[in-house]
Amino acid sequence: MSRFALAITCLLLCAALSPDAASACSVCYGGAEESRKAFLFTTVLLSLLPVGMIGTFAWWVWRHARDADASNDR
Amino acid sequence: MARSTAPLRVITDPRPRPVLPSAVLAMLIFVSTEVMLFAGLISAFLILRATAAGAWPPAGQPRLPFGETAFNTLALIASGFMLWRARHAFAESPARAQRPLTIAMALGAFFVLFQGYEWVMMIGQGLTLQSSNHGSFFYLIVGLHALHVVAGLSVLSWAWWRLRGGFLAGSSFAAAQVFWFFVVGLWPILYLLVYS
Repeated sequence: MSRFALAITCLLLCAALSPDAASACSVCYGGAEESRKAFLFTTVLLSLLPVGMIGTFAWWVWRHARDADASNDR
Repeated sequence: MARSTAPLRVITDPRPRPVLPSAVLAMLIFVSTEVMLFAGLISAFLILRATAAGAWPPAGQPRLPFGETAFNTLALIASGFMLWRARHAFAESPARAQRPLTIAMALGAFFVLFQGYEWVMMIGQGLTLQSSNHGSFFYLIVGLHALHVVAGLSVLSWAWWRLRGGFLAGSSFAAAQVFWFFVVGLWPILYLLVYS
C-alpha cells in the first residue's frame, strides 16, 4: 500500500470513529447515553416499521392466494 | 310463445375471487400511513423526553393520571372485543351483529367523553399546549388519537345505520373493523409511552 493510500485510509478511519467519541452527530444535541439510545431506537423503529408492514402484508396475501389455489385445484 | 326446453346451465364467474375486498385493501393502505404518522410522533416524543434535562414531567407540570386512564383503556379494549364479537355474529346472521356493535360504539363514546373530562382536569392543573413540551406532546399525540376515535365512531355509526336497514355489505363492515381495531390497538402503546 502506498503512503498516500495509507494516509487516506487512516484519515477515513479517524473520521468514522471520531464522531462516536465526541458525540458529534449532526442531529444529536446531547451526549447522554439515554439520548443516544433514544436516537438509535427511533431510527430502528422508523426504518423497520414500513418494511415490516409491507412484508407482513405481502406474506399474508401470498399465503391466502396459495390456500385459494389449493382449494381450487381440489 | 314456446318455452325453451333446454336444461338450465349454471354460469360461474371465471374471474378468480380477490384475496382481499377493495374496501379492506384501501383501509389497510390508509391505516399504514396512519401508523407511520404516529410512529413519527412517538419518535419525536421519545427523543424529547430522553434529551430533557432533569425529571420528566418537567418541574411545575402535573403528572398525567395513569390510574384513571387505565380504566378508560380497559373501556376501549372492551369496545374492540365487542366489535370482534359483532364480526362473528355478522358472519352467522347480520341482524345478530346489531347489539354487540351498539355496545362497541357506546364504549368508544365513553372513552372520548372520559378523555374530554380528563383534559378539562389537566388544563385546570396548568397543563396546556403552551405550558411546556410535555403539554404540547400530550395534547398533540393524545388529541390526534382522540380525533381518530371520533372518526372511527362515525364510520361505525354509518355501518350501524346500514346494518339496521339491512343493506350493510360484509366488505364495508370489514373495512370499518380494520380502522377501529387500529384505533383500539394503538391506544395501549400511546398510553404506556405518554402516561408513564
